Amino acid sequence: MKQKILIGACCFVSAMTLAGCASDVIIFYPKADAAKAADTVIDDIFGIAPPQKNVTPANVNQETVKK
Amino acid sequence: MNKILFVIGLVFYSIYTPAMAQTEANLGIDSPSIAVIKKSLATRMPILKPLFESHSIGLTRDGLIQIMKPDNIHPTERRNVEMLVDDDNKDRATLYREIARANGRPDWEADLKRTFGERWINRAPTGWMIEDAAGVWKKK
Repeated sequence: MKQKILIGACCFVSAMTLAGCASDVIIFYPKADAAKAADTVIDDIFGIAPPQKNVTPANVNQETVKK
Repeated sequence: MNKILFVIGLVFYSIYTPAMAQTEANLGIDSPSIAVIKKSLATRMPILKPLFESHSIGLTRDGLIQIMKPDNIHPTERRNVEMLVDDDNKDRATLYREIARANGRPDWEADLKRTFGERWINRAPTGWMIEDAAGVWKKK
């Protein structure tokens, strides 16, 4: 029984190692994520601010009133 | 028996999964050197924009810039523009190298250059000169 477990564990480790090696070689990164991250870097350089969330005319007016 | 196998599997999964996750590049990764290069590129961009708009310079497909029409540049300014383009290309090359290094994968530099090349062209305003995937220069 122990021998079977050991063989199973060895097979699992081998498979995971191969999968890890393969992913290192083949997969550079998910293309969509890479494009999005590169866009952020490029927008920083272009001086384009990221879109602001939850900014509505109502919020802006409240801020102005507070000041 | 099944429980033992499950536990062994879980242990190995927890060991290997983080290691495999590290193989994905983080292009938005920041480091002091990357921040300095980005700032240098951002500072130079307003000076380069009129040159892009006049088609004197263009974006290459590998994430660099190139002088397109030297005749569009006043002779007294030509040397300055050449220096600007050289400096910008040095910064761009360093940026891609540093991002690859920060990811622990210097061998990804060529892939990063290509990806940034595509994205620079995608983000560039209409009318700028760009080099397409076939190496042909055209107006965006």
